[in-house]
Amino acid sequence: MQKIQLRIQPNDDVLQLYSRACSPCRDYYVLIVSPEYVALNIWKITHRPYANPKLNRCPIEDFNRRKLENLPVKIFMHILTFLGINDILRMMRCSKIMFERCNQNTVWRLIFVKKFARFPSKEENLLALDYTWKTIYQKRLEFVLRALKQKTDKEENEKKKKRNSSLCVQRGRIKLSQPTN
Amino acid sequence: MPKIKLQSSDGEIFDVDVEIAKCSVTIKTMLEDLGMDDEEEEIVPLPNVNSAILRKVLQWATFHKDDPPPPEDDENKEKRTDDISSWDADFLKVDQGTLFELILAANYLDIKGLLDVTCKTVANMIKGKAPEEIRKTFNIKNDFTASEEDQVRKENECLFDIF
Repeated sequence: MQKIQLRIQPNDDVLQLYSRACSPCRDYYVLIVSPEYVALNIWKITHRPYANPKLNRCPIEDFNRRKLENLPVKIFMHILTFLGINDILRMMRCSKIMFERCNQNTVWRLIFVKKFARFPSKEENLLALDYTWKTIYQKRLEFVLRALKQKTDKEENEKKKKRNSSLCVQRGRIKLSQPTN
Repeated sequence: MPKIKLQSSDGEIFDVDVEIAKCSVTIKTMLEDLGMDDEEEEIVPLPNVNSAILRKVLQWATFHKDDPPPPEDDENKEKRTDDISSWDADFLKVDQGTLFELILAANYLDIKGLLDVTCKTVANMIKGKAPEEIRKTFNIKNDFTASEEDQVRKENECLFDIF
């Protein structure tokens, strides 16, 4: 964006901003804030194909800060610190904005901290430079689950062995008791 | 007790004990930075808080003026939300718009105790609820298509905290 001109119009619009993309692009942007709506118009200037200006308009109500989805980031994060992991995951399913707000890297880090009840280790912090906290949380969860599964499998196997051996004995008895033809 | 004058966004002026006003870190630093003398009849403008909300905030601050300072945040710990005192619970029986305005005001005025208790109240409105119930509670429009919602649900399923 090159230049922003601020023009407060005497009519109803609170604010009208015009801007043009840096050269050689000549895309044109208009932002209008009125008491009823906020509009962002983007006009992509190309040789062809000819494209109509894109008009994005949403009611001013969508910018109302007195709503859960529109709270400032700091407050939104503060509320999340009081929630369980599953609550945050369910919140993501509410709407696109909620998904966007909860699917942030900082939120996934918070989820990680909540889950493993500790701050990330040095290595995990290094990993976080290359991967998102979501990936790290997911991998760590898989790892813990696998370990848990191995443990239960081992116990299960031992139980099975015991049961099998006792079954063998039982089967033997059954065989013994079966009448022979 | 020395007094201070606070002016809300809609111009109403509140006469407040300095000690009560100082539970707001914003006002406290303002007074310290400006070196305002207690005897001086200065008016502190608060352009982000209207009179209805400021009255509520001051009511809360007056009741909690003898509280010990709230403990530092420990991210590492599962935070409780069931420790809201009955006075606070009654105080926060307000409509959602007012609740969020109180949160915004507590954040702007930097009153940690009020911010915590209001955020806890919101958290309690979310806890244990299905997405549809959360939508209903906060009047959130579901703009996912059925397939998109299904995808998010599937993706999240394996991330649930089950143990």
